[in-house]
Amino acid sequence: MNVIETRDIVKRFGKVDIVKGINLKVEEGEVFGFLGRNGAGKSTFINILTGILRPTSGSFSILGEKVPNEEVKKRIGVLPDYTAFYHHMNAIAHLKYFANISGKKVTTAECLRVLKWVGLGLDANKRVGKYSFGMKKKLGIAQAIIHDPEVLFLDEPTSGLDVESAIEIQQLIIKLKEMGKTIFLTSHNLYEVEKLCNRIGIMKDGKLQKLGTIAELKAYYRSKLIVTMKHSIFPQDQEHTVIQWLNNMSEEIQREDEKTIITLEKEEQIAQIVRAFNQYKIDIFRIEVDEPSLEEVFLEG
Amino acid sequence: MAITKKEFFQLFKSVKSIIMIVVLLVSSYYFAKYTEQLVPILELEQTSSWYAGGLLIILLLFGPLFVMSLSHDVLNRELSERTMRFLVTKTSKANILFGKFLGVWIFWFVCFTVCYVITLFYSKSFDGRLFLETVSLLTYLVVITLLLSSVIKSPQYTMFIGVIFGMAFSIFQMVILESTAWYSYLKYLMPLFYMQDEDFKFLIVFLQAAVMYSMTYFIFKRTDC
Ligand SMILES: Nc1ncnc2c1ncn2[C@@H]1O[C@H](COP(=O)(O)OP(=O)(O)OP(=O)(O)O)[C@@H](O)[C@H]1O
Ligand SMILES: [Mg+2]
Repeated sequence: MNVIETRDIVKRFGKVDIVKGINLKVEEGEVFGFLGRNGAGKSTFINILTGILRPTSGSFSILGEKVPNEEVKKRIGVLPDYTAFYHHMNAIAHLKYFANISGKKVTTAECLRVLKWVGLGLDANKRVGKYSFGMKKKLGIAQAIIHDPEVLFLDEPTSGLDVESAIEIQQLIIKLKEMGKTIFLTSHNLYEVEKLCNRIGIMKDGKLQKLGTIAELKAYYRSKLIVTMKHSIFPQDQEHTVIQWLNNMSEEIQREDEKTIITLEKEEQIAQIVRAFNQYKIDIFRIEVDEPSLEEVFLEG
Repeated sequence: MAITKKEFFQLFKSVKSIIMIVVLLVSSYYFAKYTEQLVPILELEQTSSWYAGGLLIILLLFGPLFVMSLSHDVLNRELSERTMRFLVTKTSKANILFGKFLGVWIFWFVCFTVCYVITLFYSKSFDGRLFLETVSLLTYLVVITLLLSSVIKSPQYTMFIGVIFGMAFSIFQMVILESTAWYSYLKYLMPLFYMQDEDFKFLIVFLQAAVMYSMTYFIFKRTDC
């Protein structure tokens, strides 16, 4: 089932089109990553999906229901790109209030559990006016998940967090994914996107420029794999045959006694080489594949 | 509803509101106590319910100022601080608006009911019509405050405008009702116009409130958060 489905979403601010017709489908259980430069229109698009902004034209549905729809709102959780809270209230009061609005009563224990997940366990009773930027972000994530929604929209969930906290949040996202939630997130951290997302879309100038799984995009933007192998010395009687065999496989080979760097076209070829070396009784100590990084995909075009 | 509860208790927590409640209680107490001396001075037309009528007069004179200065930012504060974003991702704008309206309305309703009960000790007679008339004015004031807060996006401006408007509104109403110039047609917009006689014309004030409420909803719905 498509959990999110958009048709020609356009958003105009004044006379400028910021989002220029986006068609997108996200399936149940997917973690979809949305990338793009500053000002590309990612937040604008996500804000339309979550009901913060009204689209200038186009339509979309979430969980199979046409939006805006009050029932759907109860089943989604949102971390907007800008998080501000009520200064005089503490974290638990916030979570209870927000959960209530979503139509769900939560106990203090449940609030504490979610706050622990995001790393605010010790600051639960502090007034939010005293929170740092990162702490507010964490509370933003907590309020997005407190009512146990099916779909999550997280706009830059880890930006502004310290390294440890960012990893904690990434682990939380993985946990939520394992719980079967559909997650739509934006991020500027390619490493993180690669770690978390099944599929990504790259937005440029208000349009969806690239869309696909990370493997697809990589395959599309670079067809070659550079494989570096560390192995035992080839047996003397068979050295010639092995080299011959490798030459058949690829034209680009650099060889040292215990190291071979070979450029391949397909992943299956790596498996073939491993099998062959096995037959020739050559031990493989290490294989490194230099794939095109997501950075290259990102910068391309 | 959570939003209603929050708005309601938030109003009770602020210092301003405590002061106003005290002013209201004290003035309704003294008004009730000294009404008999005041009646001839003010040359009131009505013949019954002097006591509760006093409360209505207080509301007519100071109500706009009280309600506006306390609740001028009921919508635009959350919009400008963007806490509204959390609310709109969780429930419909209709629910948010109604929740806020109800919270503010109940607050003033409770305040005035308490004052009314105090005057009852002196008047010893309950005038349902007059009570309802007071409630209609109250509703009008709460809704016009909501409208102001949705039209003007900055809480600083509504604070300023709210106070000016609050003070001017009562005077303005009376001037218009007395005048015969072309702008006297504005009187049909004024709640006071429907409250002059001892009848049920004041029900139109509820209608006015309903119209303004719809306008507020229309504006709020089209506002990007
Ligand atoms: N309310 C608004 N009025 C006018 N222009 C706006 C408004 N909100 C956003 N924009 C413009 O829309 C463009 C896209 O903004 P958006 O916040 O969607 O970018 P983004 O992709 O999320 O960027 P970032 O990576 O910095 O978060 C920007 O050029 C911004 O100036
Ligand atoms: Mg953004």
